[in-house]
Amino acid sequence: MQKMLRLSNAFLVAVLIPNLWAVISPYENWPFTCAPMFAHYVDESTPRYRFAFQVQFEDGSRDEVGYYSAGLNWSLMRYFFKWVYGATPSGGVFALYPSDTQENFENRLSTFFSAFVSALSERIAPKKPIKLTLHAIRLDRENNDSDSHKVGVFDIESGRFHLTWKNEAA
Amino acid sequence: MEERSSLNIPLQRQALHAWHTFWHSPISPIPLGLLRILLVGYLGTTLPHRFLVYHWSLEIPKAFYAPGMVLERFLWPFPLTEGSFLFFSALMHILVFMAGAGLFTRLSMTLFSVGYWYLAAIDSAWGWHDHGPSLVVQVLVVLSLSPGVNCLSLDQLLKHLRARSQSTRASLFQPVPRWGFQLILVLLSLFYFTSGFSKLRYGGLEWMNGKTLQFYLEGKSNSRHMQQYGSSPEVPEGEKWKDGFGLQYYIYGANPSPLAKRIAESPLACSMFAIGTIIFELGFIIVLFGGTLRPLLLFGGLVFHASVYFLMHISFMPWMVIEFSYLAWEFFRHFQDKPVTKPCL
Repeated sequence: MQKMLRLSNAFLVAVLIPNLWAVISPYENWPFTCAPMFAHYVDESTPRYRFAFQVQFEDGSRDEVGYYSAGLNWSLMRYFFKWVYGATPSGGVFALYPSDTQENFENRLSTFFSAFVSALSERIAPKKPIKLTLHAIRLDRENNDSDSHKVGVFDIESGRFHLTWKNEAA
Repeated sequence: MEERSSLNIPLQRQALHAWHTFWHSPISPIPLGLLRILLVGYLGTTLPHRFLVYHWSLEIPKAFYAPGMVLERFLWPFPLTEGSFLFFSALMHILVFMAGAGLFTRLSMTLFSVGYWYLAAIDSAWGWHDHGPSLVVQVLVVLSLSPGVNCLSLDQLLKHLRARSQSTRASLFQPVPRWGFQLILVLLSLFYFTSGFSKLRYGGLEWMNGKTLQFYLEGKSNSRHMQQYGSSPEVPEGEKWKDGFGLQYYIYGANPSPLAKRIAESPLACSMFAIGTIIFELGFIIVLFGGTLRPLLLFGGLVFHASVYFLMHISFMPWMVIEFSYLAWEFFRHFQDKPVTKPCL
C-alpha cells in the first residue's frame, strides 16, 4: 500500500514538473507547452512580415517559390522561422538561438536551402534553379508588401548561403 | 531549535494532509470509466486522419524533421518499416475496441496511449506544435495508469458474472484513490491557465482591448495562405542584424467563419470576448476546488471550445469529451441519493 502510494506520488510529480516548467520558463517541446497561441498583441500598428524565396533559373527567368512549389507542408515556414532562421532573443518561446552568430546563421540556412532546393528541383524539372534570394518583407494593413529587405543569397552550386543584409545596410 | 521545529511539524503535517486529501482520498471509479469509453471512442474515429498524416509525413524530407524530445528519446523511430507500420496500424484499430470496451483494460489502454502519442507526435514533428493533442496524449497516459480505469469495462462485467458473492459484486464500484481523476483535471486547468497567462505575458493587458482577437476574426492572419511573422515596435537595434527588422514570433492562423467576421466589425464585442477569454482561462483553475462552480466551469469549457470551433474552425473536440465526461459525472453525483465522494479540499 505504501509502495503504491509512493509510486503514485512519484508519477504525479513526474507529470506535473515538465508541464509546470513549460509554463514558467517558458518553452515548447511537444507535448509540453506554454500555449502561446494567439498570445502576441497584434493591432493595426503591429509590424508584420513574410518571407519570400525568389529563385533565378538557368534560363534567366525568376519566380517566387514557396512550400507549395516544392510539394511540402504549410508548416515548413514555421519550421524555417523557429529552427532555421531564428527569432530575435526577445522572441521568448520562439527564440532558440539567443546567442546567434552570422556563421551559425549561414550554416543553418545553407542546410535548409540545400534540402528545399533539392525538393523543389524534383518537382519543377527540367527547369533548373541556380540561385535563391531570401527576402524579409514588411506587410501593410491589407497584407500587401510594403518594404522588402534582402536578407541573403543561397548559391545552389556551392550549397552556401551568404548573409548580405548586414553588409548592404552598412 | 526545539521551538522552531515544533512550529514546523504542524505545517508539514497540514501540507501532507492536504496533499493526501487532494490526491488520495476516495472517489467513485465511474467517471474514469466513462472518460475511457468516450475518449478512446472519439480518438478511434481520428485514427484514419492520423494514419493519413503519417503517410504525408513520409513525403517530407528528413531535413525538416524536428521531433519533440519524447518522440526523439523514448518512442519509436520515424519512419517505421512497411511491415512494422502494417502491424502497428492493425494493432491500433484492435486497441481502440479493447481499450474502449475494456478488455485487458489497463494493458490495452497503455498500448493505445503509447501508439496514439506516437501518431500525434509525428504530426507535430514538422515545424508546428499541435496544441490540442498536447493535453490529450498526457490524459491518455494518466488514464491508463489511474485507479478505476477499468470501471464500466468488459473485464469488470466478466468479473461480476463470475462473482460468487455479493461482496465481490459490490466491490466493482468500490471507491478508488482519486489521483487519476484529479491529475486529469489539474492538467486541463494548467493548460487553460498557461494559455491565459501567455496572453498577458506576451500581449500585456492590452490583449484584453480586443484588437488581437479582432485581427484573427477578420481573417487577416490567413491571407493567401501566407505565414506571417510579427515583432513589437521596440525591437532592440542589436537584434536586427539579420534583416533590419527583427522578427520575434510567428503569427497563428485561423479560418474565421462569416459570423466571426461580423463580430470582428464590433470592437466592443471583440473586447468582451477577449476579456471573457482571459477570465475563463485564468479562472478555470477554480474547478479544482469542486463545489457549485465545477459544473459551471466545465460547461463553460464546452461553450468556449464550441465558440472557438464555430468562429475560427479550430477543433478541440477531445478536450470537450474530457469536459463532458466530468460534467456528466457531476450531474450523476448531484442526483445520487448518497454521494460517494468526499469534498476535495
